[in-house]
Amino acid sequence: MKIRFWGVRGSFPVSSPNVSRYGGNTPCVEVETGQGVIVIDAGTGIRGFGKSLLERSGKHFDLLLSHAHWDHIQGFPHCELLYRDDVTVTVHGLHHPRRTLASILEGQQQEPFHPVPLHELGASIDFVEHEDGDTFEIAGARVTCRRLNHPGVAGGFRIEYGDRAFAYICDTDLNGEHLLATDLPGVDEPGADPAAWLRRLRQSACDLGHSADLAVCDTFFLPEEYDPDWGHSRVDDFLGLAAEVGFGTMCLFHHRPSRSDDELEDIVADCRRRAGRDIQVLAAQEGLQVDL
Amino acid sequence: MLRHSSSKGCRLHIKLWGTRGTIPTPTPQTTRYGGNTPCVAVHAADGELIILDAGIGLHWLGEELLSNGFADGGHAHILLSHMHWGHIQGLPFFQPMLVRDCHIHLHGCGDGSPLMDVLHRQMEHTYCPVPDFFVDGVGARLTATDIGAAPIQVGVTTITARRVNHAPGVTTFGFRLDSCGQSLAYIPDVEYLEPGHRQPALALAEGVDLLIHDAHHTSAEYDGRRGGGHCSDAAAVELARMAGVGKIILFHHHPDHDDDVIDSVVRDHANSDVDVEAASEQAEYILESR
Repeated sequence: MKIRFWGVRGSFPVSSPNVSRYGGNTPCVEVETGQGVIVIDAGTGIRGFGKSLLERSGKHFDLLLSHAHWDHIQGFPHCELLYRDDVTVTVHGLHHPRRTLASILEGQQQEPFHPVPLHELGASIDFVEHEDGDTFEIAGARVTCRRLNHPGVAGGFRIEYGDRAFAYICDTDLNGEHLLATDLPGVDEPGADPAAWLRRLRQSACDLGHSADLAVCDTFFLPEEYDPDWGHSRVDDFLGLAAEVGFGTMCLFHHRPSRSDDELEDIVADCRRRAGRDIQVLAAQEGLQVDL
Repeated sequence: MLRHSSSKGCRLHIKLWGTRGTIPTPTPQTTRYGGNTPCVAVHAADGELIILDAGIGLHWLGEELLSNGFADGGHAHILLSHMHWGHIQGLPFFQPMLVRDCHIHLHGCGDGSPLMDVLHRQMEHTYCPVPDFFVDGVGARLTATDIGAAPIQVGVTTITARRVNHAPGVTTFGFRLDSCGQSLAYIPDVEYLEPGHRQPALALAEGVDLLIHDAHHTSAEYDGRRGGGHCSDAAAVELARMAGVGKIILFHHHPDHDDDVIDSVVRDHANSDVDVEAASEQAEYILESR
């Protein structure tokens, strides 16, 4: 598996010389298996991915959407590949009980917000909705999706190919005490126990990341910046998880908009000192490729 | 830059916070001209703040405002040229929207729907986890006005809006600001497919000190992209010449144009009889009476 980072920034795209080394595009990560191409999230980074796949003469990819917050879908209408009628795309997302995946992407680019509606894109686009815990096969890889604790319906993925495992655990408040995820089965019924759901969602993150060779982690906050209502984790939360479930490499991701390159380098250095000696630490950087 | 030190009372201060068209382009190759989507701040002589468009640049303007005491009763008018994402996507990240003592007045057109309803779709929780400041009692005091035929008066500044030709399905405006003898026109998204399309732009830009104008395509690219709703640098400069403007700022840079491409576009107009510059993020212009 080859992992390529096209967008690593959280919340909104940041265009500033202070972030030009790590990058300002919102999330988009490519996983190339040798049997196909999987893309996780469609932040503004997907523009660069689309141009690259065109150069490689690629005609199909599977897009996994962790959730539908703007920063994870805003690049979709701007991916050139989708304007070509010889391209096919399968979009995968977690089932939302009140909205279809197609209607979510349709809503983003309908009049008056974008000149070209979803159904007028040239590419043939299929939508597949998955339940929490589903496992499916794409690009020769086994993909598992699980709900995580983030406002609305959001989740993460584990991709296994050959004897390698890659985890994408973003966006989530790993150790948060507020249940931010909505539309969980039974959660609104009398007697429902939010704390039990919090434990269950944390276990999902553990399962996704268990012994992963590379785990992309939501490290939006430093401990002193933490806000329990945002649905993001602290760097320390994932240092703990890395030791608990045994990541090969912990990859800091979804960098806060105000996080400068220099600050991020200091955070990586600090994590390297504190992580166990079996755990590598790196910060996701636009253009970075990791071969597993 | 037009400057005169003796008459500070009549100045119009303009700062570019977002210059990029369509989608933010956060790359090292675009740092000089900027990657943030459109947002221009205009401070009038009487202290009023008028913001033209709410692209991602609006976030960074908000940070500067809050660091200068805006949270203590600050107020601003935001004029939206149209509803394409690149021109409204900064609203949820404009921190003053979440500050109770601020007052933000929005001007725009919802094309048959109330402006607030259209913008409210931006805050729908499927897409946006930010507290819903369109609900009464959350964050700043928010008011909205649909742009009509009558000029908008903000203190000493008169704002004229005219519909221009852009894309189907969305009403698009250009604006002219006249303030104590200084004048600015802002026409970020426009295409002149027939002579009649120039009329509203000429009316807005006639004799202005500064014109900020769509130059999305290079002249070489334009033929292949005709009908896409944007014009070339050549069409922009031609409009400026016809309108007799003091200076034109080429704006709404194409996301594929890096700094070097924009440099070469500006060089093409070095011998023009019109003063031509390309919009560069953080650039400031001060218009003062002579």
